[in-house]
Amino acid sequence: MATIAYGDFEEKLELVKCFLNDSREMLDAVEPQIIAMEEKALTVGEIDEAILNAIFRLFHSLKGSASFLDLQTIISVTHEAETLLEIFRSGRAVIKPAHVDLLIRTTDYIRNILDVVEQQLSDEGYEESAGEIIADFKKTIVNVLEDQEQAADGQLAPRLPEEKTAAEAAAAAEAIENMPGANCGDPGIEITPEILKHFVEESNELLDEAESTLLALEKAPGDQESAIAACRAFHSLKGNAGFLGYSGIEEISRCGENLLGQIKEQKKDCDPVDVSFLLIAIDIIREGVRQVEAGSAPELPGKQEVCAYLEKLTAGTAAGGAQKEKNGGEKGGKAVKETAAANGQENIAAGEAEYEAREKQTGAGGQQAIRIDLDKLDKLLDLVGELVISEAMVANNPDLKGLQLDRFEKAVLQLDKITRDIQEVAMSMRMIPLSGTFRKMKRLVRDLAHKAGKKVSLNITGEETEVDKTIIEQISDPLVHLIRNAVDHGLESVDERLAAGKPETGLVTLEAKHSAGEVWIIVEDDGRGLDREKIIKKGIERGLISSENREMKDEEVWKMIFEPGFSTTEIISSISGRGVGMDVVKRNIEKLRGKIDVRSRPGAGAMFAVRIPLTLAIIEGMVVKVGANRYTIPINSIKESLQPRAGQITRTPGGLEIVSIRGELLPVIRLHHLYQVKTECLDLEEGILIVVENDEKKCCLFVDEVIGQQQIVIKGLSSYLGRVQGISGCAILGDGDISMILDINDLIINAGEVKR
Amino acid sequence: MSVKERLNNDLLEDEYEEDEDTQEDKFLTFVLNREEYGIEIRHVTEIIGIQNITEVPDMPHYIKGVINLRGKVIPVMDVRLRFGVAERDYDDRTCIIVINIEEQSVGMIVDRVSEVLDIPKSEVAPPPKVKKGESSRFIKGMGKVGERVKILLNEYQLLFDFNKGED
Repeated sequence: MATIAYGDFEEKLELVKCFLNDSREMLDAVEPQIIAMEEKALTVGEIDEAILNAIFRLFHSLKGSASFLDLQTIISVTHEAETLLEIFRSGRAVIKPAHVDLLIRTTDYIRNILDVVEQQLSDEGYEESAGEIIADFKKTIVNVLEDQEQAADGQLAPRLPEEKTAAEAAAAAEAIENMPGANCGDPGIEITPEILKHFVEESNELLDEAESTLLALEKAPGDQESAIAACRAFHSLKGNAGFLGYSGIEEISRCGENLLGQIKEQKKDCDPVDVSFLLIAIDIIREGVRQVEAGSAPELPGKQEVCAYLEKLTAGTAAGGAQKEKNGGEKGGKAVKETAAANGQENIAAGEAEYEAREKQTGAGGQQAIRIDLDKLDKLLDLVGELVISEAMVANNPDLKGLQLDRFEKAVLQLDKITRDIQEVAMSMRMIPLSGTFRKMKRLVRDLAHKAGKKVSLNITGEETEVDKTIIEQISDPLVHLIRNAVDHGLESVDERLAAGKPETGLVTLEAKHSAGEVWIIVEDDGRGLDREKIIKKGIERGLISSENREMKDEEVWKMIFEPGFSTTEIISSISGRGVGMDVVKRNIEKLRGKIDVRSRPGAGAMFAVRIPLTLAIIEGMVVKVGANRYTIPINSIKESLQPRAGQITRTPGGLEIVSIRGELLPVIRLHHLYQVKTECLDLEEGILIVVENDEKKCCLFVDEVIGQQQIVIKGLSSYLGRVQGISGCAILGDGDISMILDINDLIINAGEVKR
Repeated sequence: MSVKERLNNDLLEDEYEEDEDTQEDKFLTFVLNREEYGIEIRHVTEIIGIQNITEVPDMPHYIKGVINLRGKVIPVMDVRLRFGVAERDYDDRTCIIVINIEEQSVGMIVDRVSEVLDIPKSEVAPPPKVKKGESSRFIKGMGKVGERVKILLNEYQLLFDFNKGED
């Protein structure tokens, strides 16, 4: 077994590498799909066919590529998974959580086998291990088929996951009878009051969303995003209504969607007429939904007219588009009066096909990509660093001092611009969207929620945010810890939540965004919040603070949870409580020169915002002079710089100097004392004070003079020297000299301990 | 300077040969406080003149700071101070010998560089067993070249042995 037809070892190695990469990508893709399918099956009671098909396809491709390498373990396991999925696909049974667990176990198993294959280039010796999963699949398949037979005996339709009482079933049956389009909906799906409730809730939400986005669209007719959002809302409405067989609502939604589709694609300008008709459509649907809620079939007065109008508006554009007229909205509208409705219908169909094709394209990652060896990228980035240094060397060359060089300066400016552009591009090449990392969190939340017996929904936004590869590598662990904490400690149990008047499903939000040269990753939950008293108590116990400090600021209290070994939970659960987590979080984030902000409101939840600088290698720095030495201060920690007057300075008997700036008293750190540098400039009034801030703590650094601001390529101090207090690295200046980069965080923390 | 250039050329040649055997028993000799020392040539990457040295705070006194060697930041050690010999002002014969041991590049500041010598193992005597002088732990052996004796250094101890004799 597992002998590969390809004789050449090298070739085989390459083949296996490709296979591993592809398979892992497929697994990464399939897991969230499985979870999405489960969510949908549990909440809506619907098996999303698109998702199901996607999962099926992925397993199928996995099987295909595995059989190329003759990996029997993967082939047999995926084969069974396919069989099970095929049953669901044919609509003969419904998906239960147990099935999902089995599928996920399968993906885990395949992952393990992939690791093995990576090691030994075959799955030899693991044939047995597949047996267990295959047996489980066989059992499950038999059960599913039996269930289905029973169901077929009792009713025509297969059962939904929820067990229904007779009364509910009767109500549902009644509901079906009331529905005009029931028989043309998805055959075999029974509508329960549960589903109806969901439908009503969701529809109202969607209607609200559609309404607000339409209003936004009216204000800013060119706003693509609003158009897309509105289109999406109509699309979802259409889907939901179609599923339940409300053909009237479905039709109006479809008309609305078509029109918005045109606007979205910028084939048509959005004018107030469009918006008014869309709003009327919303009102009609809303009324329809209200009727559904009341238990009757939606009547939808005025449906025909609105649909006709919407179709006309849409068709007008399509026709206009064909004629390549810019203001097709108006003229096309007139043209429509002559065009037959059937004609318009065709245009819509064509538009829809195109729209779908485009969706597909973007879905498959429309842009072209090539794989590049990471080493090459790193090398490029190193070279760009050198380029930035050399550029500064040329521009600030001492030989040029005192010369009048207008044209040269211009050329340097141009060079500077290009250098920055190259730097940006080089950096962006290492940027990867966070979506992969975030997707893993979905799985984590699901597993944690199951373990902790809580209901949790994870809301992810900004997963398309791109960050440097190093950040991706380092951020995963902290995120796992933060989310784990949110689910395990943050969110209350279902009972507690209900007692507190909160919805029983807890909400964890994971958000990423770019903000002012930083990437923010925010983990927020709507749970109980941090327990201030408990943390203070623990802090006193552990000797982190003295008991008089009870009045300390919230931020200072929260900071204690990042201390190693700090945990307020009495019980160490399998998920968390050992007090290692937050320590890891802090350390990993500091490695990325990032910060973490904590906000918490008792009873309303906690928020952890991780802020990481976008670029790790190049920063803006302020170069200052102390004696013969030059130091660099990262610009983002500088608040201001000033030359103090005598009256501002106070000397304490302990020798500490304090400067009063606009009523704020800040300690002074004399850099020449700290680093024992000989300097002429000893009088505070003669030098410059630079106010630096970190974590809302400030202090003043006393330097001889400020040399200037420039881009700094951060270089590590040689590992031979180890870690140096107060120094975060070094930079090569324009004249080739080296300047130490000050670690402001370190300096401020130690500010109190500086002698004299 | 001509010595330095010649030596650098020698080093280059050695690199071209890429043969460890030819580097064996070859030592770069330098002068420190009137004594001649030798270090194994295979550790030496290059020899440069004295450069602007940037101080690094909180270092042992013999670590003078860091230099910029074509974009690489390399720490430099004053071997005089490392041996506990009185400091001396740098002049135009002062050299930095850049050595690389265990992936660490470190510059060694010496009074002046002399030459590359072949000292076969048969001509190397074990280090004297006197306890006097803290620098004896840095000595690997005594190389005899005709009438003269070169002190052969244990480069590893020189760089990494911080246990004793540190202030």
